[in-house]
Amino acid sequence: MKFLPKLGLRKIQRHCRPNRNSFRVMKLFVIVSSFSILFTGCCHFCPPKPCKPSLNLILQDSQGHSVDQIEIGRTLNVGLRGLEPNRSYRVELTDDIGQLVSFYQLTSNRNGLIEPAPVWYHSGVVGCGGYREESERSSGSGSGEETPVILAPRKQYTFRTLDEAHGVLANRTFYLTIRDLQGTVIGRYPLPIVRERDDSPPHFYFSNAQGCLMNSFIKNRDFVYLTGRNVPAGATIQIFLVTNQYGWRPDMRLRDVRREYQNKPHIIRLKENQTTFTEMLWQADLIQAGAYDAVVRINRQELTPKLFKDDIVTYTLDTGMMVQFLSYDPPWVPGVDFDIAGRMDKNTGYPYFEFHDVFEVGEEMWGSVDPAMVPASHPGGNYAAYYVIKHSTASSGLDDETEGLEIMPMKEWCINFSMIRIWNNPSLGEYDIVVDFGEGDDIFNVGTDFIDRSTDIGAFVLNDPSTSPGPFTTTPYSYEPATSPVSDPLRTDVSSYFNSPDYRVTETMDKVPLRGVGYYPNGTGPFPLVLIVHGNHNPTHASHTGYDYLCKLLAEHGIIAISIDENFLNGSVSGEMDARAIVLLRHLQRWREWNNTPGHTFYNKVNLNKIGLSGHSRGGEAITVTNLFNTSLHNASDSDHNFNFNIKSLFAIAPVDGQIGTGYAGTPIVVNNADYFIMHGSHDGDVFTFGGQKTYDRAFPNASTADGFKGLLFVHGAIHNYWNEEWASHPTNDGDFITSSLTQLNDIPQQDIGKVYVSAFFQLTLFDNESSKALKALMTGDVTFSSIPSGVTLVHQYSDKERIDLNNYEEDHNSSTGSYTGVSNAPSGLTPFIDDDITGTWSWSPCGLNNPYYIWNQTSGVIAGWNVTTSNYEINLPSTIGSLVNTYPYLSFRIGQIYENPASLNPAGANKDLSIQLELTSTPTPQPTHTLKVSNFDTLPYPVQTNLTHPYYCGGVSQNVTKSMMKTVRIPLRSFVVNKSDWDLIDVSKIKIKFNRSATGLVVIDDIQLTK
Amino acid sequence: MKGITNISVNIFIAALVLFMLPLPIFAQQGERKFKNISISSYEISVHEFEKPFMKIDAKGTKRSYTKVYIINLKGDFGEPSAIPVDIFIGDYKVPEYGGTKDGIYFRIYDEKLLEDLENKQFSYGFQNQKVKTFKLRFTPNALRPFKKAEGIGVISF
Repeated sequence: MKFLPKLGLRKIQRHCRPNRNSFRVMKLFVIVSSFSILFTGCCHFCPPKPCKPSLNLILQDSQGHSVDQIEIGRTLNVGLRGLEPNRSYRVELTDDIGQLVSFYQLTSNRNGLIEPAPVWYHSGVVGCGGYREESERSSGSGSGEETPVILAPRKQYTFRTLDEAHGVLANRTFYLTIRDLQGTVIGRYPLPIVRERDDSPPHFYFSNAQGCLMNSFIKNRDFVYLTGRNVPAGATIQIFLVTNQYGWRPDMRLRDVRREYQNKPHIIRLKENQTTFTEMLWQADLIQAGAYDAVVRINRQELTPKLFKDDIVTYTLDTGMMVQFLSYDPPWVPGVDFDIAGRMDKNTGYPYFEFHDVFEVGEEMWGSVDPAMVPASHPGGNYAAYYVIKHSTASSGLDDETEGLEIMPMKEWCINFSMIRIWNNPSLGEYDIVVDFGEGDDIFNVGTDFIDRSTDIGAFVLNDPSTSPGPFTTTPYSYEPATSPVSDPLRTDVSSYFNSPDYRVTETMDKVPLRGVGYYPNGTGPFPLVLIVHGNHNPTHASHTGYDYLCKLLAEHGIIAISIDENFLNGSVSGEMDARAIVLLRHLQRWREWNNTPGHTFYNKVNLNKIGLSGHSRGGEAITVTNLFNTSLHNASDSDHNFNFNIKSLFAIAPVDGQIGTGYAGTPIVVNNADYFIMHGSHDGDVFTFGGQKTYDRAFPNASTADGFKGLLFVHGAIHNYWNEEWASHPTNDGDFITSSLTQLNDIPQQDIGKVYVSAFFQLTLFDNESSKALKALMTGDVTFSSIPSGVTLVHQYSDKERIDLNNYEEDHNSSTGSYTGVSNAPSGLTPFIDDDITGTWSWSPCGLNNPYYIWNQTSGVIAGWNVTTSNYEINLPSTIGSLVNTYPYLSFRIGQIYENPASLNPAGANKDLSIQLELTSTPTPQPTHTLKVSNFDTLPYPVQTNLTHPYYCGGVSQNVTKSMMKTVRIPLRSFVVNKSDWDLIDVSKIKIKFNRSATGLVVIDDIQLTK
Repeated sequence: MKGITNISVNIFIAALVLFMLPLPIFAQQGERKFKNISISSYEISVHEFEKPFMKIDAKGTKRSYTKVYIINLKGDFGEPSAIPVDIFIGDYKVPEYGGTKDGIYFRIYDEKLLEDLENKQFSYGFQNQKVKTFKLRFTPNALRPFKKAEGIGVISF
């Protein structure tokens, strides 16, 4: 056994000594497998159980310093590397006579790693904190003892003070035992316990005035002190008291929560021979409920409020301390809206951990408890276990679905359970997550245990919506009229809507064929129906067969999906848009007929209440025209116009806009009664005028009458044709007209993106089950799936059916008025600041966009620029908003960088960042909430520059057709008050957009909403 | 023999490596040459219906017609694409047309419209905006009497 003190690693020897024969076999194996690995990248010839690598033990203190013994008062964190993947292990600390002191049980990840986690907090020193001391005294225990009363069963080896711990622990040797859940001991290691040494790293902890450890404080009773030990004599020390967060990294900003130290550092200077101190940080009447860390900087000249590499954070893996109200008791209804499941935020910054409800099968699920959510009256416990259980089964006992149960010791006075990976490889289903206080007793104790959630579903684990094969087997299906008779009901007359077919079309418009090809799911049904329709193309090439990949996929997921042939409306044609829509409606008439015809394949198999339409290019507008004509031209007494179908959702792929004719020419379509999604590519060299952005902007104009949601996906690098497999196979495509610094996507990855979104959209809008509804998170951009090619920028816009429009800027062009009654706006330091119509219209002669901002929208909004970081935009809210925050738990807004030519305020190619803060009504002064970086929730990419050189447009001269794209940023309102139990969002009075994270910038903003 | 084997193995390995490489997600781009939209000439023919023909006009009203004028424009109107080429005679935008081998055709049902467009210039454009106006003028009066329409554009019952 050998110590690796620098790394804090211990190598554990494994018993893997092959005999001579096996050694020869191994040599051969190595040669063969090396050859295999060399050329295939994987090890085909590896034996099922190759020799495992050595196990490494990682020992750290709470600051992450490597240790090889336990110093009294310090937390022991243990990690393990080289384990069997996805297996649970117990790490037990026992005393010198074999009695259990503390343990954890965690599961190794896919790489056989258990990250360092606390096994023993402060070597058993629980200190002098806790609310129970006060309550016990006041209840008349009358003992007068200063020792706090510990209500939870007191473990052996818990001490109030360091001195007490020294007396019991010093110079003893405890043992760390690692075993699997079958009890097999993998390793056992002695851990000497020592007093703090002179050369030990400095140690800081929250305390009372006497230097007794405190993990929690009571507002209006306790003063917060910080005690330092082993500090260099005579040192100058800066102290920052900051809100606790899940992780710290160099250069992160340190925002001192104390007003008096927000603009100057808290500095103390030790005497020449002084190595310990206890410093008062916060007065009892000033402290605010929440969870905090202290950051300490020793002997450094720099006063900058950002984290330096050698600054010391009180605790890294667990909460430094909490402040609670004795009198504050939040509405504690166990199980209601208590988030636990989440994922590690891939972006750096606060919060690292993001609570979330939607996961992909196989994606790591993490769990955490926000200590500020836990009421002061919670009894806590010595250990707590994470269970992931089938939804709504808690009352019948806890049956963990994961690779293994995670059990962690609890810190006294401070329920803290941060950043635990609770499921390596989640499987499909709907789950609740339970934190069970105890050692995994398999019982859900109402009132003590936490559950995410009791009524709603805590976590959805979903398959990638483009998973193939899906849950249904499928059957191909096609239909077309017979050659004779010509009166076949699969022929229809559209001549009154369009009667000028291209010369290459052989059909006459009074007898066009109703021809479809696709798949249906095998089963009893009834199944939703989706019709997909192509756009314009050379009529001698079939277009409708180009969506076979989508039809098959939808059918595999339980949807009858048929691609409609409208080739007879293709070619060098104009004015045929209405006919495209009428053809779709005539197809729907056939489907209604078949569903009602006994003996037909689809008799009672079509759910006519769940109809979706998807269209590409001219077909993209055609589906919205279909939706319009479905009611506007409906006439129950006219068999040709007896429509009135239940069209629930519309998915437009790179749609055109403004080609509707009959009676509507010049009247833009406004979708207001069906869920609506648009997908468009940055490199679209055909519909480069981006009609879909305009139809998005026009849809659901009024929050109170919106009968659906709308979403938009802008795919960097995608072109027009590749979403149709037939069009994609042509030797030239519209992408050839585009030049860009960003290389165009190939057809397969572009179609992969289409598959995910088309499938998810129709599952979301045509199914009623909760898992399908969870796919909303893809539409909002909150989650992604593994089949979406990495490295492709996706820009989402989303507006929910249920929303409050605080500012949609449609009411007027006054910079101070808001859209919601009582809302007012106050820009400050912004140049330019424009509250106006921001419609982008392409001029064809001379060619160019009609605005200098490269905005292609059809809306009103704000253009805001800044070159000082004190610039901000405040939205003042009426008091009525407070009552809405529970109903609408997200702050949502559209924002995007503006492309400048030449670059000025926005450096080319750089992401933009800014901050958002709320203000709460409070006396005597308003209470600002946490300031959140937008980049923690979304990225604001620089626009992808594109130029179009089209053979028929603009004299063949290259045109800059770059799009300044807004994207919808959604921030859970709860994030603004996390770890602050006395900040109540019901008091929200202001939203501040602070342009303080980039020296300069120019952005467009619209649709500031509270939303679901 | 050994050398041949080595070469074969190497070719096999190279093919295998190429096969194993992930497909590129980004594409190569090509080039296109500019081709202008053009109108070189036109012809007008007339077709008389055997019975009144009902059609919905631009305002959405059903109207009855006894004959129709078919105008064949010759020129280059581009490849079929999402955004159609708009054709104007004066300020009148042709609401509906279809392609022919050497251009496009459209119909005028209203005699009065035919008269109103007399001597107006042809233009083309996109999305209701004119891009270029040609010297070519629409002069139906000079072409009367119109020949009887045949082939494409003729509406039969």
